[in-house]
Amino acid sequence: MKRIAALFLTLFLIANSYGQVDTTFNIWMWTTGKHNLHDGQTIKNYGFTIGVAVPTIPGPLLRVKQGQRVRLDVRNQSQGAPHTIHLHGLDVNQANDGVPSTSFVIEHKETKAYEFVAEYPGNYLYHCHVASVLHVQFGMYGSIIVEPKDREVAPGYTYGRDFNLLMSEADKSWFDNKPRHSTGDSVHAIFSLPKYEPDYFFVNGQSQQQIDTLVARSDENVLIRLSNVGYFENLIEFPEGVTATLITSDGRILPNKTVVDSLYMSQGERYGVLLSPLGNTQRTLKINYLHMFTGKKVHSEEVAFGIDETLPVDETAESTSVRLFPNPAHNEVTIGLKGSNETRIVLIDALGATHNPNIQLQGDEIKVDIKSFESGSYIIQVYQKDELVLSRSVVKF
Amino acid sequence: MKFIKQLGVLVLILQLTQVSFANLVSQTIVLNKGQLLTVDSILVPYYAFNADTVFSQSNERLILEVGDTLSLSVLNNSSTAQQFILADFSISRSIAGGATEQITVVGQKAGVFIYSAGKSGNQIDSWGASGMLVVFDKKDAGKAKFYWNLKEFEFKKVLQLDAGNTVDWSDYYPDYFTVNGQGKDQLVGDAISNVKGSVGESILIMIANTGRAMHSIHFHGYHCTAQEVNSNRVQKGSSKDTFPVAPGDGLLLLLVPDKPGMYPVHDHNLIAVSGGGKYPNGIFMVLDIK
Repeated sequence: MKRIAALFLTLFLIANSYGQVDTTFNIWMWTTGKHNLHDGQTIKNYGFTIGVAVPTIPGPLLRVKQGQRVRLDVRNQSQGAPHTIHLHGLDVNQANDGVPSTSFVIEHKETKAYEFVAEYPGNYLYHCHVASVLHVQFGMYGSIIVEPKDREVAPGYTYGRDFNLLMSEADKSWFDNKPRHSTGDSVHAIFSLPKYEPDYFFVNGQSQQQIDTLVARSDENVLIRLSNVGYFENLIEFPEGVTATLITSDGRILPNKTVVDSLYMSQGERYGVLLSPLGNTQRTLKINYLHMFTGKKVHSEEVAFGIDETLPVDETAESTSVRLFPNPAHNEVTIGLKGSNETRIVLIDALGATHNPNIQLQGDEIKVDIKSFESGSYIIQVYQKDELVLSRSVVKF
Repeated sequence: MKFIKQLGVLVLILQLTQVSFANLVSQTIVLNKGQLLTVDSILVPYYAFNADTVFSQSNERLILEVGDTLSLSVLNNSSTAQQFILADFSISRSIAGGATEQITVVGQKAGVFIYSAGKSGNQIDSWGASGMLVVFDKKDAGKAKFYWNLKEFEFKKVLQLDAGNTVDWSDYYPDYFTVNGQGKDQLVGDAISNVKGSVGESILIMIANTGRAMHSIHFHGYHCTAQEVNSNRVQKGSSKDTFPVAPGDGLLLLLVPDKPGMYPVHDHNLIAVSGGGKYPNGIFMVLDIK
């Protein structure tokens, strides 16, 4: 009788906790990364992944929708170093703030959860707040995007497609001689800092020829989401011949929407800039990296725009029109998305454990094999290049 | 027509009332040279404007309400001539060693302004001697107020200044970062720097960057509204969690907490959270909301 009562209580608690959450991310934290640099060298980074994977820089882009309640189930698998996640700009309560002295840390082999409500659309950051100056430099950061309803970034300002550009730098000497297992990894220790003289300047963890081309239609407004998690300042120069309108900052609509040619962005800031249609001209966006103390320009990177008229007019990161069937399902679930060798499917069960089911790519569909799983409710998530593009509930019977 | 006349009289009365509420604020500040105690217990030769001839590493704050007149006596307590600059009020004076200069300004508009012992690029203002002049709107009289005078310095360059040498700032790499002259652990319990308040309360935070380098101040837990800006980098009325404060800039922020808790505020140039090459030792404050 007691066992049955306990079972009901457990089921009630699980149902209650999951019933309030719209989206769950299963995040792992590591100190065993390997990040490829543009010149063929590598750095051994720390980082975040979705499920079990080798972390690169930055961590996975987390996209959610305005109004959603979001849960991050976070597993620390990092050989001894404690970590946290600070939800930068999301104005969470103290418990979810990720500051070791006022919130909690996640020790090695522990799993703990952070929750937030995605109240305001915009681009935000997440990063480790343990020995922040080291753990952030070593790659423990990423972006969170809260998508607005109907892709309206402010009343009267809509976009067809958005791109996230997260700027940072790396001083390779810090990685080569890092105080990885020193007191620098302790939560409360005071430690010595080497001089910071970065030699790699990142856009989404990439430099020079690595940087992805931003592909859009020629006739659509493009929202550029800019964030700086580095220690240098940025000066962004927008493409000539395109109207760049500064609309949001730090997840809030600015009082004055101003047309800008360029934009300074200091450490930790974020901006949303709407570009008028790119047309068919070759265009680039330039990012200058300014020394944190002298303000002198130290380096520049360029991001190219490409035009592809075959792109759908109304593409979203997670379209509500994506089919998922049958549901409930017994052996297999079909998802109406085109997959690739960079597609990963994650199943999250009612206890929060993650599973990587076998998948088959068939044309514009992904077939997910669920026959070996226990009956029950699951969240099924689709990741393309570590970016969450679909998150749905599915029942296995 | 009669109504318009009555309205005119009313406006005149209101204006006269405003004038009658304006105060004459008399204050003395003294430019002292002393020794700043760093967060790692090193003594550094330093300048500051203090209330009297006793050196303190925190510069005195000059506080007015809109319409007030400030009658300021500035005593140069050093042996050499120094400047006194209040750029936003078109004040620039040279004060001989041991001399006192009388300065009068009227607080015409609300905001955070900077006074210093020189323009940016001058040696001594980069060596401590710069503070904030805050003009409050009268409606803000009853609000809780906190002040962050941000600075940084490079120990080697301070020693060069102290030896009377010209300093090359092109390779500036400061190793101490301070709020009101103090680093992180020195700020614990400091009632001027660490914000205490309650949910729903209107709290004003005044920030001035009197150093040479950009500081990017990130609030955990809350967005603040930029109520007054003396800056090209922040829009008046904008709501942000991270404020760029360029050298010479002043911000007057309104914080209305919506939840209780302890939340850090720190420079997001994380190198500036250090002191003496040690982390965490620099620009790091706490919001304590009940």
